[in-house]
Amino acid sequence: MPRLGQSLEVGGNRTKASGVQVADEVCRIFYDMKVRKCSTPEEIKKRKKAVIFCLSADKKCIIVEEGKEILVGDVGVTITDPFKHFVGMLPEKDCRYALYDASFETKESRKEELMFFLWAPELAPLKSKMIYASSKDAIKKKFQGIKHECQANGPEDLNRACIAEKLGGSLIVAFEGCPV
Amino acid sequence: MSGGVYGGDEVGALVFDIGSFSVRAGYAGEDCPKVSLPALCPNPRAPLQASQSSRALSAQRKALMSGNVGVNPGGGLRALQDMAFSPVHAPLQADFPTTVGLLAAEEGGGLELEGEKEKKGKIFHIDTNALHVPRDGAEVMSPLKNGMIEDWECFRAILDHTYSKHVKSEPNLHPVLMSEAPWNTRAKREKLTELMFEQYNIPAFFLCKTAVLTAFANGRSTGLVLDSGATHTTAIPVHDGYVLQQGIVKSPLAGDFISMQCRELFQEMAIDIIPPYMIAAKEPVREGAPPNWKKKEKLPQVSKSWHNYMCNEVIQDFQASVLQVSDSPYDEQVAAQMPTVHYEMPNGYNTDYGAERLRIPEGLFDPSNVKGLSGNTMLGVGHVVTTSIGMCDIDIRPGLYGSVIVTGGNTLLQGFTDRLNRELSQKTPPSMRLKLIASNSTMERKFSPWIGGSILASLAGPQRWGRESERKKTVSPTSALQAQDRQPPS
Repeated sequence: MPRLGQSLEVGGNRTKASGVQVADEVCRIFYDMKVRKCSTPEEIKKRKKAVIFCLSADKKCIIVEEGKEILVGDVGVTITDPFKHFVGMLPEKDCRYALYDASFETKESRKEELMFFLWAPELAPLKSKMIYASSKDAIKKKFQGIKHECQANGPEDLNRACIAEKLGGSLIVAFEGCPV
Repeated sequence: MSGGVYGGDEVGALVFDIGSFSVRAGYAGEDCPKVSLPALCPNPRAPLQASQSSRALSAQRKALMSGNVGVNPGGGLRALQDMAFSPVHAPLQADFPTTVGLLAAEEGGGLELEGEKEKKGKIFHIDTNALHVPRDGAEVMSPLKNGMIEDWECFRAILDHTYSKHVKSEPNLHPVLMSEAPWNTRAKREKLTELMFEQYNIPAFFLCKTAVLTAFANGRSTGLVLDSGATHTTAIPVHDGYVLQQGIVKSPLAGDFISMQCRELFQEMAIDIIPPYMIAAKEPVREGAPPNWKKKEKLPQVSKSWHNYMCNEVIQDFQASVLQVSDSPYDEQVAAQMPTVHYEMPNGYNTDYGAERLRIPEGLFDPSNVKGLSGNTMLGVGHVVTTSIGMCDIDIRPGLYGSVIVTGGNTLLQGFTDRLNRELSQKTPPSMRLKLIASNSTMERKFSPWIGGSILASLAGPQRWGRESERKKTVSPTSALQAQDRQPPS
């Protein structure tokens, strides 16, 4: 009688066959973004507003993409529209994963919540799309507790209205300081 | 994992995608350079290239028989042209019909010819070369029923053939990734696993649902996969890499249904379908004139099922080249205005086809007017999609409407995706955005599960796939099966 447990994966609904690993730095960054310690203003400025992850050159590991991040300290100083800037950092013809710390307002309160993005544009090569889509599970597992996930396949999926919809639908009155 | 460490990097994994129409198999590969396809070969007996579909072969034959390559721009040449200009992403070793010829041998033993596999007194004729030879009494059969393996003997024969003639390597050297129908049963899955490990001794095995491979190959882990192939048109909702079984909707209105409709058309028009195997020689005739051809002498007594299969190949070529889906619901007057397409039968009979080009495929989208469909309970393609999405949780529906992935050979019918887009736009709830994803590449549309599997298998995966050593460890069967059948988290 075949053993049909997790490691065998035969008939398992979940596809974990890609075998891609997640770098420790990725987990560390997520943890830092998620946990809001009481920090000095200096530390707050260094916290990340947005981070982009990619696959290593040998396609075996998910790593942080160098230089592709937005710090909280930059917002309002060098960057006026953090979300627009974030979208601009995503490549036109390749896939990426991303974490974005979204600040938005409902009628009752102001919130800041993390969003996970799978960016897989139509123009990306098929191999890229396949690898990123099938390994999404691996990276998401490391991001325990994320409430919002977005699958974006083109710039039209990343307009403010769509994002607001994902965050809370009609309850959202403002996103990143601007009304929706 | 106990047992030896598997050196997954050194030996290539094999990918099998076995459908009702054709078997696709090959080594897992990366996005490889485009395969250069041969120019039209003047020799009608040229060996079949493994990457040619049977349709391309008949197109070649047709072109050769008409004596002039340029004569049928709308005819069988289109299939070949499609193949010549579509980028191929991975080396597909084998692409041959799933239907096999079956000869019940009176005595066991005898010469094993190319493509023949003998199993307990039955001889299977596999692959286009062997299948196309007319033989006394040879029937045709398919090992699949309803997209799942039914006849295991026949299936084994196909695997044997694939390994020896296309893969050309020993089964125990290569880990295997195989696609399965999203509605495949637990029992069949177990039996297949047992077969692969015990009969073929493969080192590692992984089964993956076709819909999931297709979704991933399109950069999505959530979406509605609309797969229209030969035997059925199915909508399969995939959410976060899981197939939502309760949302799967199937309709029998697909490629084979269209072929049947074409058959009826030819009967009405009193056109005989003469497959190439019967034709010894033919003369060119004027358009619409009765064909002038000579029948081959001394043809064996072929069975009806085999003859029908050969006729179906002719019809399938006609289907692919001539038919078109109207972009709005079929209207007699509008159809009459459409340009006609010229098509020549293997026996030389050639004529123009007009309104029928649009009338026949209309049945896919609007089955209400189709003769012979009992009770009108069939769903058109648009309804298949909306019903499927409607059976899923309301929260995920925007994600499904936003990623409707169109795949399968039957969707290559001219105008199919435009019409589907139109129908779905009308049916999508106003609050949701509709996005239809349909690859422009013929290869991708027909082979997306194989291509997806090929890329998946070429990653570091095989080291983590199931091994025989794990399979043998006994765990309480109930708990193991329960674990496997657990519902995905909502």
